[in-house]
Amino acid sequence: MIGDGGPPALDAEFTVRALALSLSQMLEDAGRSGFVVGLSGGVDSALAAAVAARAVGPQAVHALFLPGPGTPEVSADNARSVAEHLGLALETVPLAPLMDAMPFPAEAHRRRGNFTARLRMAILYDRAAALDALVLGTSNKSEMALGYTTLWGDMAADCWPLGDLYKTQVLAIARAIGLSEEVVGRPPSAELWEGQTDEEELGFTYRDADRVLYTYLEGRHRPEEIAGHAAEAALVERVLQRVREQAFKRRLPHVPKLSTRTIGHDFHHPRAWRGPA
Amino acid sequence: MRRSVTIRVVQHRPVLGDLEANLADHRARIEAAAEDGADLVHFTELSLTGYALGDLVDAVALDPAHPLWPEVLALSEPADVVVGFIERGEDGFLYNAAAYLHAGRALHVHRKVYLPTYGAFQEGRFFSPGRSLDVFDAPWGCAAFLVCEECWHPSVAHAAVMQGAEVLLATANAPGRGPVDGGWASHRGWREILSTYARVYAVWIPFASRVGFEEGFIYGGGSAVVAPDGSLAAEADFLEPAELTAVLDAAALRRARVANPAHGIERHELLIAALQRVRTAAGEAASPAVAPEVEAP
Repeated sequence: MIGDGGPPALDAEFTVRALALSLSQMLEDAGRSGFVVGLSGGVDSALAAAVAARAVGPQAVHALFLPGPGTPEVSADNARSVAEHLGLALETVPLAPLMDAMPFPAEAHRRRGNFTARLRMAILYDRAAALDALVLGTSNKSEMALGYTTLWGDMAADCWPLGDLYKTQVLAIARAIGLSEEVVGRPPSAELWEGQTDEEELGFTYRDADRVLYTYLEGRHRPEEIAGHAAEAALVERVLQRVREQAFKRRLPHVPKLSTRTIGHDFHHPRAWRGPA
Repeated sequence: MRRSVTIRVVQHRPVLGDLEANLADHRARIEAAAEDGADLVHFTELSLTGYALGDLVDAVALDPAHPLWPEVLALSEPADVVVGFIERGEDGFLYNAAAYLHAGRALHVHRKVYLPTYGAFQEGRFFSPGRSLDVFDAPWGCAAFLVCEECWHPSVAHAAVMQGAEVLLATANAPGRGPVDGGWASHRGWREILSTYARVYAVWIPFASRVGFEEGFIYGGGSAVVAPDGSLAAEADFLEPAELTAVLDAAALRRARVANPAHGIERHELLIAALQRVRTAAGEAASPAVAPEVEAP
């Protein structure tokens, strides 16, 4: 048996209020004017954008739709409808011309997919510089725990407002605050190549993964406690193997320590600081 | 309690590391509270500096030689004040401290004894622990501090009440956890703990808990004034800044102690003997005894 049955239901309105407060204060601390966000047409970016719009007003959130070779037309429709629903300006930058400059072998799905994610990152950061904005990350806790993300690609951002929400909690909150079923009900996909879905590639559903992750991370159960019988033991093993193997994506790179005070080891400064040094 | 006290509990968001801005904000709130008739203005843990200071604790530590120290003391000219600050001790070490200021002087300074250094908390990296569980004689009665983590150690409340405390001045910088039912599950837990202490010991507990976002923590607010019967005489929102006004009523405390004299008949010798057995079993007989610096009135 798997522990408590998964992440708890949260108060959607209070959660959005709390996250919006954190975003508005991050922006104030950073001294920037707004956020840029890549809208994929999926639920994570839609919810992140909704929180940002709540935090700082839709006029201070610049949305980009960045279609690549794996992006279906329905994503464009969804991105447009999300931007319209939230009152955001939406800019479209097709990646095809940039992709053409970097040919990949046909079978190199993953390399090309990661390259696509990093192109999106480069465009978002450029727009953020132009607009005096912060890049709004859209990764959720399930993706980050599983490492189902491109290092320095979709994971590259100035903040991760959804980083402590499991995917199933993202879905519930998105529904509760009125994001459309076309967006919330779509099978999750990174759309790094045509027909890709997260759950097919991972080999398990987010619902199952979240039960294991929540029970392990927050319930602090040992793997053998989570796995009550063979079928579930295999699932627990697959999920926790990803957590283990992808740990590097959740940490900044190693700095081999040489001095008496080293960045990443014993140099602890906050990000926002207005007093004396 | 010798008399009742009108208290203003301030649930605010300090500016991280900016002593002068925080002093100005404290001053304005204290003046307004005094005009409204408050005797005591109660701020949060590290209210003059903010919390997530990291190595920069050294840059904003205060001692009597600091040019801003007279301004800190002067905060208490319009009304008594509870502030949180970083104290540079005469020994050169840094302490997470809370002070009770009265008429331009520091009547009592408490150095936080329990520094959380686990999970998301790192205070033990940056502060030295206080060594004493004290009470002090405030102008209106006997009081003691419970600074954040100390609320989670029943021994601190117990030591305070056994030394005569009638009011426990609680402060916190606590991240909200569990956004459910219109608030934080974590902060409902705080209130349950304080409500239990208030009821068991028949004490008033004003609780100042900060709000705002800092270095990844969304502080959970939920400040309150807990009455000696465990009820909430005032309570604040879990996200927004707020100010609470309440009367710490001496008569209510008297009535609660008449109704519930349990701790008045506490048999200290039994607890001391039990702790002595624990100490002996743990092989800690060599550790120094901790004695209160101030006698209960």
